[in-house]
Amino acid sequence: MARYDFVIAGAGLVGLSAALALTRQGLKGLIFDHGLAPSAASGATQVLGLDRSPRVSAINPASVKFLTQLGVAPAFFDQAGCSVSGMTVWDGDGSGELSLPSAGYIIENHRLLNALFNALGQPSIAEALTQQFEVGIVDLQQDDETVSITLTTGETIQSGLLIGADGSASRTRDLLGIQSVAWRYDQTALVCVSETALPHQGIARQSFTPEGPLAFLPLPEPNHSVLVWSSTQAQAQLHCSEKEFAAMASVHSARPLGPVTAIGARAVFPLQQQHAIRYAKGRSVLVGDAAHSIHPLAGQGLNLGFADVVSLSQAIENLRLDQRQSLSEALRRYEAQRRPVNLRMTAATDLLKRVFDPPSPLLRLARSTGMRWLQNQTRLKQALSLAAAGHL
Amino acid sequence: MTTAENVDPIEIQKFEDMARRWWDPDSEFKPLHAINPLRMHYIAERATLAGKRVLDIGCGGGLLTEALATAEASVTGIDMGTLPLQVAKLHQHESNLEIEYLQSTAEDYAEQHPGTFDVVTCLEMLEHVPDPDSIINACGKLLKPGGDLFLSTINRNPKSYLFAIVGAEYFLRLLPRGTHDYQKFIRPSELASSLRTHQFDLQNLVGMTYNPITQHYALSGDTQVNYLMHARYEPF
Repeated sequence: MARYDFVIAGAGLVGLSAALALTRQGLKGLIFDHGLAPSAASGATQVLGLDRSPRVSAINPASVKFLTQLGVAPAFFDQAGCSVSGMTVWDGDGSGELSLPSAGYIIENHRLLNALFNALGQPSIAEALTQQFEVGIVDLQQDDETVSITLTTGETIQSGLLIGADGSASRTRDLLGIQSVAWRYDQTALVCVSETALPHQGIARQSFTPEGPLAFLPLPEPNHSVLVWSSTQAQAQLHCSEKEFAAMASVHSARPLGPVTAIGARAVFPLQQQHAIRYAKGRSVLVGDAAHSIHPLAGQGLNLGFADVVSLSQAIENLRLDQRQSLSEALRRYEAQRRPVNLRMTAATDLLKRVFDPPSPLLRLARSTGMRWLQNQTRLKQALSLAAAGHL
Repeated sequence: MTTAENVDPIEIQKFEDMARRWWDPDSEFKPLHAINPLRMHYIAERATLAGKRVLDIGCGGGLLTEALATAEASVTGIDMGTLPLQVAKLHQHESNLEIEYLQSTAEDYAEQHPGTFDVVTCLEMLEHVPDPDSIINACGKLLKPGGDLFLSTINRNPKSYLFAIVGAEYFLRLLPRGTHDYQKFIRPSELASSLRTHQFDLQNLVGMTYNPITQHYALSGDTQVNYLMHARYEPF
């Protein structure tokens, strides 16, 4: 029976980063995913004559630092993504606006995924890590020394540690019997690549429209952004013509970016927030969306996931210094470190969403006044920027 | 009550507690127990022990010393710590092994016993002394020509627990006054060069890594943190 130091369920961005962090510590592991191998996985397709995908993430400087430590070339971020110098948030009716300095990148998920797979290709790491695709987890049992994991292939493997990085619908979480609390929203996120008449100048923008928050996240091309509309009307917006949709979005983009002149294929995904009531159980642990998924309006989901891996990897590294401590104690320390921070961000994002959600004119007034007030509060703005940069 | 022996029962109790913990594989001395079979196996594979004269420098509470004696070597253990030596002697009563324990520095002992030993072991000690080269020199003096020397240095580090536990007394005797914190990683190349200077031939170098998940030590090619070294004294 195969035996590993660690097994990771889920070869997404967070799972791959965990695999890199642990193999770099000299540990041997297995990572598996129910999806296809990366070479067969779909990357970008031609959109508006560009090689761009609307599936993007915001990466803050703390995440950039972590990814660089994992072996992603520092030049990668400027080559593959768009450096963001600021973010502007405004009320849909133009009554309030807030500009914050920001740092980081907007980057397409598949490019980051490829960068991580490339880092895994270094000989010393490739040797230490087994990868399996089109494989899921069926069952798990754990005792003081071992987690036994049964895969969809029928194979049972043994590991000292199991990491659930299998996303918001985590099967690992279910098998561990860990409950999660969910906030469901009446919104669906619609995403597409868009072209605007005016350049974005490296600013991420978000308008709180009556349908829900509408973000324009800058792409490397000066007039192209990824449009993310967390909307109550996403189904209608998905099925109308491109021209009609561009007109709807232009109402909100007009002031800073000019009208939306073209859009790529639209895709939708459901929105919800959820938080696992615990992250660690015995020799198993949850990271990233398996532990917590948040509304994308603050662009923090992936950053929180990477911060989880930093903390987990440090907790395991610390066991080398204090060899009397057990792994399960280290996993509980990881949980104690990360859960309050993630919960705060989840609650803050939920609050933001709710404040900007209801169409009540009174609340809108309070909100636009609040934004004008906030615009003048330098220290508070600094605190918000720091939070967004991952210095919570 | 007899007054013939001038001993304090409380002091004796302290030594007995320490001895019990030192030899308890689930105590704070766990890491030392974890590496002991590994380093003992390494030594036994590369040198004949039965019937040979063996010196264990920095013997501490006698974990390796007793293992060497169990392999039927005639063993002497030296250390500068009073407390560890007491622990070693107390445990010797239980194990009934024939071992000579002495408080001495390697340098002093070499002056008194040149060319005496077939095997010298000096494990997890070099990184804690201000002048490792002087210890290597003493090891050369102590060995018979063709004798085997086993060295290890451990960076992160079972022995640092001992220093934390056994404390300042150990340090004060090991180091000259006014010096402290000599825990420094000695690179394998530095040690190899010191060995060559003192007429040793390097036989083997192997890494020793701790796996924080399985909590086991294993020999490996990774000599970046901890390693074991085998050298042979070839003075001619």
